Amino acid sequence: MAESTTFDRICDIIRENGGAGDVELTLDTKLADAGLDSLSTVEAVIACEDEFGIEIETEQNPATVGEFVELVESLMEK
Amino acid sequence: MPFRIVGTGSALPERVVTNDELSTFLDTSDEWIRTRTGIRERRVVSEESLTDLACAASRRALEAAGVAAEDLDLIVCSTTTPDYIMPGQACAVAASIGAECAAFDLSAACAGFVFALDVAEGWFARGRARHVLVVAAEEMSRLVDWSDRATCVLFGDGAAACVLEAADDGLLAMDLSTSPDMHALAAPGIAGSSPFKQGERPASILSMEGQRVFKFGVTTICSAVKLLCAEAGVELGDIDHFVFHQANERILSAAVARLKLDDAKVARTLETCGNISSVCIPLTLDNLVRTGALEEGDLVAIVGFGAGLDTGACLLRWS
Repeated sequence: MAESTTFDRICDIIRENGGAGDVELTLDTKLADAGLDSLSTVEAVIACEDEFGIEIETEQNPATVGEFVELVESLMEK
Repeated sequence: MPFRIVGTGSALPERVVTNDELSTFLDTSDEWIRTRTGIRERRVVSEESLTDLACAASRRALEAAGVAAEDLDLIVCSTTTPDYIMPGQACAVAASIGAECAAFDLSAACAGFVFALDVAEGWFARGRARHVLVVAAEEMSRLVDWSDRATCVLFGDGAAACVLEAADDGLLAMDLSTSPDMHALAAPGIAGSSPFKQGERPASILSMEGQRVFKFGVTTICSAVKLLCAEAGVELGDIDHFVFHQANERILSAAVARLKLDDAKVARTLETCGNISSVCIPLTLDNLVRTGALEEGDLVAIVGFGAGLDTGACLLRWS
């Protein structure tokens, strides 16, 4: 399942960039609640660009895990 | 005809401002600033002037090069915060060190030093210069809003200079670019007092979209380094030193991770000096020289980036 794979990989990236901790990540989890501040959100975006081979515009910074997954998948389709 | 750097020098203000001192008048802390920026302290102009610093750095570079001021054919000063709008900061340096060559300022924000190297290269290529002094001097403390904890903690003041000499080799690649953006990082010009101007002009205070600048920094460092390698026909692993603009430790770390660089090859001055705009690169070069880190034949990749959004990158073979 492509969606769950993308979700899992993005959750790994969020954790690697200082997010989550004990919080269980779901599609509705806000990145701020997962512990990502504005700086670490950009770091996670940059890590996603490398992980998925895409380019993400800064204006598109996601606010939730679900938005993050949607954003990455929409760019991967291009 | 390219050039080589034959002398470096720098000068910082006496006054040290630590994160703890900033915490006495801003809602911030040493821990907050260090973990988000890598900066522990910065130097800030108090009793000295920017001209004092620019002249001291220039004299040190000339002394290191063994070049007399009267032998200079050009002085270019990279600055966004000169003591005078006119004459240029470069003219103040010329007057102080006793040079009578052409002297002018160049404004390309944090990338300014590399843009100035490119101007110098043109003078060498046209056979108009044997020796050029490139000096960067920035007093960021007069541009920042000292009540804005998001920006004022990032910057510092200082000056650094390089003396260039015409050479057959030394410069392997040079690339300047601008990705036009008037909002990501900006400081309006002087307001003046014209009775004819309609409406109010904004104050000359620096503003920054942190996320945009952060992303641009990482992206442009990585693409510029790859471009330099392709232009010069060298492998990334062949480069001995990386001298990047010192905006934020986390920008440097992200670029190191993306390019899979040996972190020890990436020079830093950020922790004790903060972001001194176009001074960062020549200051870091001067530190490398003075600590004996640069050896004959070393490849040095330089990337400056900042407001504009400008990027200036070059690859030098040290000699």
